[in-house]
Amino acid sequence: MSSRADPSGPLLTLEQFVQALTAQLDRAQDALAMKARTGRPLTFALKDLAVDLQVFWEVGSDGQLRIRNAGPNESGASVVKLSFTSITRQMVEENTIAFQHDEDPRGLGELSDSLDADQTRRLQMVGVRTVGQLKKLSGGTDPQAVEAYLGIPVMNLRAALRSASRPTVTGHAVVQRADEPALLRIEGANLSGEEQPEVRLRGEAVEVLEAQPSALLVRPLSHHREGQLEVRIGGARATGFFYMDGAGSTAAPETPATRVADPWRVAPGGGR
Amino acid sequence: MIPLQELLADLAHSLDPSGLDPRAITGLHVTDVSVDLPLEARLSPAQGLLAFTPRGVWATGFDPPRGRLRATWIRTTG
Repeated sequence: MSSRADPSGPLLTLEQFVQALTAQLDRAQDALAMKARTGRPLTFALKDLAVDLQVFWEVGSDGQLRIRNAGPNESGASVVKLSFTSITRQMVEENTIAFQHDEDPRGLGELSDSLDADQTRRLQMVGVRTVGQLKKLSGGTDPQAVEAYLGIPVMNLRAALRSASRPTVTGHAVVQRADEPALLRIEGANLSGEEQPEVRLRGEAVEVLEAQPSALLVRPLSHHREGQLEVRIGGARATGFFYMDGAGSTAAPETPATRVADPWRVAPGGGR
Repeated sequence: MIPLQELLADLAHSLDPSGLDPRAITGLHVTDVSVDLPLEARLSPAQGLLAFTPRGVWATGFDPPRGRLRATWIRTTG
C-alpha cells in the first residue's frame, strides 16, 4: 500500500491494463487479417492467449487497486493469469451495453455538485457509469436500498437525480440541407418531455421542428448568426451559445450536418 | 522489449504456412499451433504490455522475474 514512484514500472489499474491488452490483441488479429488480404490463401488466426505476469498490487489513496510489474530482484510477486479467447461479433454485442439506447449518456462527473468522487466510484463499481443508467437504477430501486448497499446517502441520491433531470445544453450543430436555409440542432439532455420546449435565439423565439430529450432541431431566423440560446421546458431553463459558421446560404448541398466548434469553449491548453 | 502485438505477429510469422498448397488433397496440414514460452514483460501506460522472450536460459539479477505466454493459432483460409 504505497503511492511511491517505483523504478520497476508505472502503476496501472486493472481496467486500464485489460483494455490496453485487448486493444493490442485486436491489432495482432488485424495484422494477421491483413496478411490474408495480401493474397496468401492460408494464414493463422489467434484463437487463445494466456499470459502469466509477475506483478505487485498497490492501493492508492483514492481506493483504486493498481498493478505494477515486478522489477529485478523483487521477490514475492503475485502471478496474474490472464486468458483471452476469440469471440464472435454477435457475442460482443449480446454482452455490451447498447450506448445508443442510453437516454442520457452523460458521465456521472456531470453530477459532481451532488455526488463526490467516492460516491461516483461506488456507483461505477456496480456498473452505473452514465446519468441515464443512474435514472434507470432509481426508477426500479428504493433510494434507501441504494443507501444500504452502496452507502450513498438518500439525500445525495435525490439531489443527483434532481440535477440529472434538469435540462442541459452541451453543444450545437448546423444542419444544412439542400435548397433550405440552415437549421440548428441543439444537443444536450432533458430537452424534451411531457411539455413542449420553447427555444429562444438572442432572445427571439424560434420554431422547434423536432424535439427529443437529447436534441432539438430549430429554425433560426435569417439574421441569426451567433449569440445566446435558451431552452425553456416546464419551469426549467438551460442556456448556451450558438454560432452559425458559414450558414445562411441555401446553396450548400450534400452536407447533412456540419458540427461547429463552440468558440466560447476554452481548450485544455488555453484559448486564443 | 516490443509491444505484445508485435511479438505475437513475429511468432505467427514464424509459423507461416504459405509453403503449403491449400489445393492439395493429400498431405499433412498444420491445423493449429500452440506455443508456451517464458516471457519478460513490462507495463507501459502508453503502449500497454511490452514483452519479449528472455535472451538466455539463465536469468541474471538484472532481469525482471519471468512470466509465461501461451498462445494458440488456428489455420484459416484467406
